[in-house]
Amino acid sequence: MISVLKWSQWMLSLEVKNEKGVWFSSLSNRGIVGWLLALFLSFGYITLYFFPEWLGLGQKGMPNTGFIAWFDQISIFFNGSVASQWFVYGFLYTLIILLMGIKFIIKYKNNNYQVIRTLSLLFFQLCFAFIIPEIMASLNQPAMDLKNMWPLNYYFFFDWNIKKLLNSGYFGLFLMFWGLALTFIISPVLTYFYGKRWYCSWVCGCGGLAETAGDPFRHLSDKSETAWKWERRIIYPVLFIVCLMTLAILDSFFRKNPATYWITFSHFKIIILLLLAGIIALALWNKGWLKGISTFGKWSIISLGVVLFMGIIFSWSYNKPVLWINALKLREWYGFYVGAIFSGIIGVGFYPLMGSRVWCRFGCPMAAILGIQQRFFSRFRITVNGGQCISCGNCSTYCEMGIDVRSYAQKGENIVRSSCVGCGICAEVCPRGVLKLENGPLFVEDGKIKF
Amino acid sequence: MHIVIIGFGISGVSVAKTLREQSNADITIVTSESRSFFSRPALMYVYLGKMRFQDILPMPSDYWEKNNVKVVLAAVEAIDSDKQQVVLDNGSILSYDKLVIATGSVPRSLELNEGNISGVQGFYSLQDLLLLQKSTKNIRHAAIIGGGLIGVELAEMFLSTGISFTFWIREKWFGSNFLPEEEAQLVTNYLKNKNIDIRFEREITHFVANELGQVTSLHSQAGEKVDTDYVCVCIGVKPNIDCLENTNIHTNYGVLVNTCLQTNIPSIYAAGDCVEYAEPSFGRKSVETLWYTGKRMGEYVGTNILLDQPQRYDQGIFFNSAKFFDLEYQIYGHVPVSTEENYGSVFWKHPQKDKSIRLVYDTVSDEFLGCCVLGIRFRQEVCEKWITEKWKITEVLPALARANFDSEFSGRFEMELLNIYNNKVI
Repeated sequence: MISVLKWSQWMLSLEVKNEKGVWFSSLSNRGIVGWLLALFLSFGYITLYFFPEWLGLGQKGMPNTGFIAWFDQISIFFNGSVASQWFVYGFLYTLIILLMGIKFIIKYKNNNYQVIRTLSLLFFQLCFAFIIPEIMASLNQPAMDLKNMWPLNYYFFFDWNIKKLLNSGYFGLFLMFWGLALTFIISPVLTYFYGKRWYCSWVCGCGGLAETAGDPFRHLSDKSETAWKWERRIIYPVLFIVCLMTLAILDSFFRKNPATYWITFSHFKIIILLLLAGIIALALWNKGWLKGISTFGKWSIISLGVVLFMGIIFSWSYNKPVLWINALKLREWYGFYVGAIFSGIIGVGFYPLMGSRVWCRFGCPMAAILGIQQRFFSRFRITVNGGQCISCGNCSTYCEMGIDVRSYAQKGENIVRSSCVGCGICAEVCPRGVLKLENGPLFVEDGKIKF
Repeated sequence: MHIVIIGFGISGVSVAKTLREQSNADITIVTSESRSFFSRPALMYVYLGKMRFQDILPMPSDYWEKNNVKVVLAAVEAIDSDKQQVVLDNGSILSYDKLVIATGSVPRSLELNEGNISGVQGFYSLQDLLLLQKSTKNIRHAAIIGGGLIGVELAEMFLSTGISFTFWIREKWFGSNFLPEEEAQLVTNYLKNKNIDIRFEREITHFVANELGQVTSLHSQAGEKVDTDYVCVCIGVKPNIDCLENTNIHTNYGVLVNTCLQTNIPSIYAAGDCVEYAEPSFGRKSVETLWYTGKRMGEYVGTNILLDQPQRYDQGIFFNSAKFFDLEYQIYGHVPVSTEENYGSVFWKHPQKDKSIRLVYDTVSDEFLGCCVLGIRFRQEVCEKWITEKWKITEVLPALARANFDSEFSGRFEMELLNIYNNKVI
């Protein structure tokens, strides 16, 4: 009881403090406290992922002890079995999002966009990511986070997941179609109308943690052009690798089960080749797509596409694994380096050092896809209000994605950037009311107002 | 051609940027403040710890080198307009073909006995900020004098760092010389709710210092004596034209310029706060100490310098914005401070929250003249369109939703204004 009172007192004091002094605090200015927290979080992740026995996870059927055992009763309540390390992780993750989310809502209580958006994040984390999968598991159905889609959910197309879903009757079939619809229909449509924010800062679990627990660190994101360059150099290769991995695993799956399901190996081959050919054709046909990319970059992308296309055809015609990729090795490699180290240890552990969106900005393949859509096929943008900008820099400083918002605002240019997650904080901290997130048809175009 | 710009604020920078986009002329900027161009209105955020100094630099630090613009850190000692030379305090002499005066402004002083007392200062420049940071460490009580935008910035700075202070204001309400009465009352109540010790209708009569020359207390005309270790005088600014004293350049309150922003000497232009403009348009002041005016004038001067026939400076539709703690304020067009003949206004105030909208129109022609909003954001392009195209208030009111620039899911109040207008007409 006393701790609850103390906690609420602390939250209220944070509200009074608002953003002031973030550069004065050791926690939020990469001081000793910040570094200690970063170390604590990183080692926490390492222990949880690789040495759960240190936390008391029972080995070989032995009962849990220590830290993990604290959560046994809660786990039994939800799904009938003692806590696993992943249950503890999910429980704590959700708890932190809830607590820090309430703090965030109090801080921005005068801004309805922030309040509603955060409530949405809390809802999706609590229900979709935590409670519903636990209920599914307790009903002996495949447990799935219904909002976690491919490619962020990189194992959706893994053979074991496909088999699990296809062997679970109509419910499994529903989950299969739901997952496909999320990636290929629901997401593109929502992103067209609302930008990638519908996912990244309204629904996603990684976004949920970044927006709530990560809020005190948002100003630590690097705003330099070099950082922007590295962002593109890392995030698109991750997307590329996740696509290759998925292709290779599906290939080996169909190789082992050539005609067990309604999609046969040859259907699959045709679908993949048509998809790839379609992307290359679109890139060649619609030049607007690749504007802003250097000629060298443009031709490298197109020639990479052609090489891939040829490579796939060759490997299949010699009846080899697609592109001669060792699917198992690649899967292991991706799971370890990207799934565990990048999105977990660096993604969360580095909050106090590089800001709250390190994974979302540099690594997330979902963010990469949504970003491409947002940049080229979306109505979302941040509108700049005429000549009101006083170049103060609050927008850039508090952009968690490291976008130099000011450089656009002071020129009166609307901001259309693939990385923008639409958190709306730039508009909130602007002292002159210059910025507004919009998805309607363009209001001011070439200096003329459209009514 | 060599163009020398005196002053490295938004006006001088706008001149240089505009010039560089159009020509390869040699450009030298002279400043005694800082080698980095920073956003002056953002200095308060550095004090608050919301941003570091490097965060308030609007342009990449290598911009000037990359664009071949020389920045010289020195003060101007003399300007010889016959020889076309500027003498700097570091001994060097710059010859120019065209000169731009963009020296900005300096804080006005109370002209009491503060001249030889330490711990009394204004807040305008980077040096002022550094002094302020140094002087307000471990003080018991501070005083802010002047109910303007800088005064309220200081109040926010002191409140956030926990410095106790008294806020001395000459007028009956906060902001009554730039806000209509209802808005001034709203802002005043908002500030009072922050538990700030505000004393209205007070004029400071003199300061008392100890034997070290450090301020210890101040006295008001109401007979109060308040112990204070630090005083910030924020009673406005005036054009910074001291360096033009012994020159042939005509000055009055500011540097006098014609309609093309040219001084009496054709090779010398002026832009920004230091300018006293010859023919201000209706409702505008001849000296406008605004960021936006400085930027606009700078862009005109940057273009005009290269032209044989300089173009007329177009002041545009007036706009400004400010923020009192978390309360935002915007104004577009002409909004008179006091009730004037032939001006009608539709004023709405939120029953609980700190929000208000005022639309001003001509009661004879019904033309929409301007608007100001508190706690609400309006869209500049839309307001400007209504004013330039002379929309009638009866056309503006039904279209009001188009001006709203608040974030999504914010409350909307267009119907309330429509009802207020309709009730007024009956």
